[in-house]
Amino acid sequence: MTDQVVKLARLALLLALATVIHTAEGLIPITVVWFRFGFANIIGLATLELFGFKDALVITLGRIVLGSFAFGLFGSPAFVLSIAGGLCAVLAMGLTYRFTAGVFSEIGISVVGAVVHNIAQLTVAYLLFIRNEAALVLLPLMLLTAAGTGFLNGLASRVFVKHFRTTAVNIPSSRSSECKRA
Amino acid sequence: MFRKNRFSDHPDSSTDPRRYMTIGDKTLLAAVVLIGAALMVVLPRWVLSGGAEVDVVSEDRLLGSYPLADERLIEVPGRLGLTVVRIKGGRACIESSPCPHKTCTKMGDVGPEGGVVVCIPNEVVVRTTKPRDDGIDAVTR
Repeated sequence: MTDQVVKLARLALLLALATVIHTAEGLIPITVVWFRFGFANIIGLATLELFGFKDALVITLGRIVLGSFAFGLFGSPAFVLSIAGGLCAVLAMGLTYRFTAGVFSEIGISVVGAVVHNIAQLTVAYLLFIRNEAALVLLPLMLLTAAGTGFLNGLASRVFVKHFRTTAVNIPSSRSSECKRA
Repeated sequence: MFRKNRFSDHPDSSTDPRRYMTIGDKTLLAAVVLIGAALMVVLPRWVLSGGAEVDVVSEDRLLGSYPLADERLIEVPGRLGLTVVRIKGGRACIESSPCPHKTCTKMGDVGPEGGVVVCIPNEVVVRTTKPRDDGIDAVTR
């Protein structure tokens, strides 16, 4: 019981964190940085590692939906692209995490997520919105940025998980001695 | 509470990227960068290579679009008979026509810069188009 409550609290915290990062990143003007770093995926990847696939899926889809409310973009083309990319990225990361034990560290899984995110977005953009082969010319550029941002996010995720496990968010369980003293 | 750290048994689980990237990571990163760089060279040529096309219209119906790059003879049925359209050397012209004055065969040829050759008696129109030359890439709402 208590464990479940603590888990819920931590997941809520992760979702809040992911939403804030997602929204804050949306404030970066596209004229300055033409690509998205996808920093919110740090939290998605950390959730995958800490709690498993289902919770990572909830966190990722949750932050995209909540983030879209913040900008009034719910249901817009940008939102559809976000959902498609996020969904495919989490699926790919979950599968990679599950079936390639020991081959990749967080960096590898993060790169897989970033690459799949970009390919999924471009595919959906082409099929639904653009319908012009010229859009596919963006693919190599997106792959190169995915390699960079995936690497960064994987690195950040590793640091985040390390701290999250131990010090950063220590919600004591009610049965621990710590709590009795308090 | 948390899942076990699947990565902690790596001998190199520090936060220094020079030490903790697995061989799989490095291979994946290198592959993505290489594929990206290769596609950067190949893809634009491949995607944007689509040249201009020739639309053949007879009696207000579009009979077909043919690439200007391929040499061919097209027999177009019209009101009076067969008009023969020739595509050669990146240009299209009307080679022969059943019409009385043969004005269309004297109109010369049209290339990728755009243009039209028309046979009015036989109601045949030959025009060159660029694929999607409306100047619009996409429409979003």
